[in-house]
Amino acid sequence: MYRQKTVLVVEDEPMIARVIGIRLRNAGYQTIMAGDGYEGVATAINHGPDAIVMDVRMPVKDGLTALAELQANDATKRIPVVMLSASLVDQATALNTGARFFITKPYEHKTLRAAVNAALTECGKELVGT
Amino acid sequence: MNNVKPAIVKVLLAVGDSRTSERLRAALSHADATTVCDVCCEDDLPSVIKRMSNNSYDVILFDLSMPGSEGVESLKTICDCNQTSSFVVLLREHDQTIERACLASGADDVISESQLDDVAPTLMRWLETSLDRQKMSLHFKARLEELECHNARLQHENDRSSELSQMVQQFVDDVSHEFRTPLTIIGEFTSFVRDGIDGMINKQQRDHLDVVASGVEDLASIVNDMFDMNRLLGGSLRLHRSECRIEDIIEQIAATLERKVAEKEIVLKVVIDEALPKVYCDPGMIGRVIVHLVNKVSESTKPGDTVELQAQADLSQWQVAIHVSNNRRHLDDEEFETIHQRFRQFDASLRLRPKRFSHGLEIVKQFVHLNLGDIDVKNRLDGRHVFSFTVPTADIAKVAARYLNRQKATKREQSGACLLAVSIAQETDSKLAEEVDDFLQETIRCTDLAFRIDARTWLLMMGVETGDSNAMMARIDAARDHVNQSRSGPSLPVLHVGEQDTWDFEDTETASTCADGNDQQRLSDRTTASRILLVDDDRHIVEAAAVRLQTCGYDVITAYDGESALKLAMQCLPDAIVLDVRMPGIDGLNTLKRLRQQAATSQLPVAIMSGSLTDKAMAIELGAQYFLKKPYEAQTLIRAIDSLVSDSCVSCPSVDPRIESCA
Repeated sequence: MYRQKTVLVVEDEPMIARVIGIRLRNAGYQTIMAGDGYEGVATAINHGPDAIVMDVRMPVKDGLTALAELQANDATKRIPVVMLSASLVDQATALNTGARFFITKPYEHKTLRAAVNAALTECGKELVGT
Repeated sequence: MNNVKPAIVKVLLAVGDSRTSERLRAALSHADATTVCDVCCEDDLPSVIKRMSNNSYDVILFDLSMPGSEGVESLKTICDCNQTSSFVVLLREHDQTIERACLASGADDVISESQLDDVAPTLMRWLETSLDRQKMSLHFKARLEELECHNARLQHENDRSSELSQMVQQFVDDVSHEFRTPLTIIGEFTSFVRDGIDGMINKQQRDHLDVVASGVEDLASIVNDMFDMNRLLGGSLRLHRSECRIEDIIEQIAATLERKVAEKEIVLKVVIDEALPKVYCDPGMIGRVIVHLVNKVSESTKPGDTVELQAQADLSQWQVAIHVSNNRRHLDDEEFETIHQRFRQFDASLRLRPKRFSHGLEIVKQFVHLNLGDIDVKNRLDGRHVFSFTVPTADIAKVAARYLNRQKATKREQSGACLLAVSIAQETDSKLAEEVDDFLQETIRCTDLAFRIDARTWLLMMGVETGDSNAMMARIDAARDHVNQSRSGPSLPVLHVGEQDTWDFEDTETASTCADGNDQQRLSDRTTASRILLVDDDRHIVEAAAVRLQTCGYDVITAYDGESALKLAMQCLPDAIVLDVRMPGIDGLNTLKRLRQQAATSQLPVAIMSGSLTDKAMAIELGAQYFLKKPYEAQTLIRAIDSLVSDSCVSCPSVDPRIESCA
């Protein structure tokens, strides 16, 4: 049976979190929100979302540290992560840390949707493969 | 009153007999009113050496036959350990041979005992020299101190400006970061309203929101340009070059272009040549160039008129030309001149920007040049003005030759270039191989090239100081270690880096074999260039050899196995073929056999290369003109091909194959 996919949005800027939420819900996903990297990792462990959209520069714990923690944790390492940043400098670091997708702000909303779709599909494929 | 203090000169008389030394001392004491001599005497060599090690003397008179002296040898020893004194040698008898030997061993002058009466003036002359020497030494010391002081100040200024430059870079990075968040918010909320997510709106409202969206896009693009210009000037801009299609690049920016022209009520006509070859560039960057040029041309286009975007193959120059034009009359003279001049100057305009020259076109020029293309604006005969730029086609050897010509012509920072082959273990996971690709693209400078030969092999074309490719290899290793330290995923695998070829831009010999960057010249070279087919299953060897041959003026095509080599040979009828023996499928010798069996290719000059000399006899029997033993020097290959091609020019069938083995 079709199950609605859940996407965790980790973003400190409330307005950005809001627009991402609206876009993803319009695209048919359920969303959970977290306001910083610390909360993001905890929520990911507790809820086990299907995908994560995460900002890079955040207070308390930044996105790259959070990403590294997610990758190191058996419970969360298979969840695909789409990194979102306003800084192009972060791109190489994010991809090196294991993010599969990187989107720069401002983004085309179609790009965000495509990235989340692709991340979910790719992850599904990998699971079938292993 | 005489204020001039007499100079004090220290003299050491190293003379065996005391009578002579007394005579000399007396002579020196009356020598000159402006000079006071502080004279010491020693009468055997060990005492002389001891004294010299504790004191410094301006002039030393050395008696070659004093007790303990071994003649010229001893003179040499004391001259070597004291470079600042003047040495005058005293000979008991006049002897030209010894005199010459003394002068050669470091003596400044030689006198014999018979000239002892003249010794005072001789010593005085050397005293003067010594004084001059002292003065010069003081002067040099002062100058040196001055220079060191200047140097320290420059170093300080330098540190400070690089600190400031880093601050500026950081500032621009931060500002562009800060801009992006509100831009995202404005863009997204506008699009909610525009798309009717928040309720119905009328057409006019939608049109107005489109204008807002387009403004946001423009601002985002300016922020991107600012960011990239900042990185370019600071040397940290990175390109992600790959083989790609112009069609795909245009597809990526189609939505943006459509919005732009719709807003101005302009029609955009896209004309793309059929069967356009693949190009080698950073697709994102070239996409932005196109958007900028369409914007620029749209500015001077009236509603209802057409902007044309055209992509054409220019195969004679191994490039694709992209033209953006409208049907407006010519640009006015001043505007035309400004843009034209700016495009013509290679890099001078980076920092000096005239007021009327928009930032957009500046970055466009930089982007095109970084992707090894050219850009210009023309007023065409049919009344339109057109912006044109070029992108090289995806052929490694030709792109590399273009790179070398540009580096040489623009005399960038480095005096030479090197071609490095990088490979990782064949069993490396493909995901990790992708990450190695990202790593290499991030590690090289924006002007350097990284060609991906296959999933696990790369060729890097990099500017280096002549003979400094080792430093480059060390840099790549260090960068890998650095990345591995901060990585959480699996470590980047060991990179096997080897030097394939080097170029020295200062070297006139290389200069003559490298085309000179003049397009006209290159074109004429090309129409007459001999075409060489290189066949080897080791791809990076083929491509590295192709780069070298291309820079020597040959037109090179490559194949990685016998079968495709046969196909290419029939299709293109090259002027010469270089075949490796050991290849999967049809091997080199069998390929040669089949070439000889076909009428069209039976006479083509062929060089066989192999690591094994046992293949040589077979190669001769099958009609190879050349046998190259692996490993070979690049120059040997070039000589072999020069000779193959010149033989075929005479078009006499090679009855008597000349076989050379090049160990």
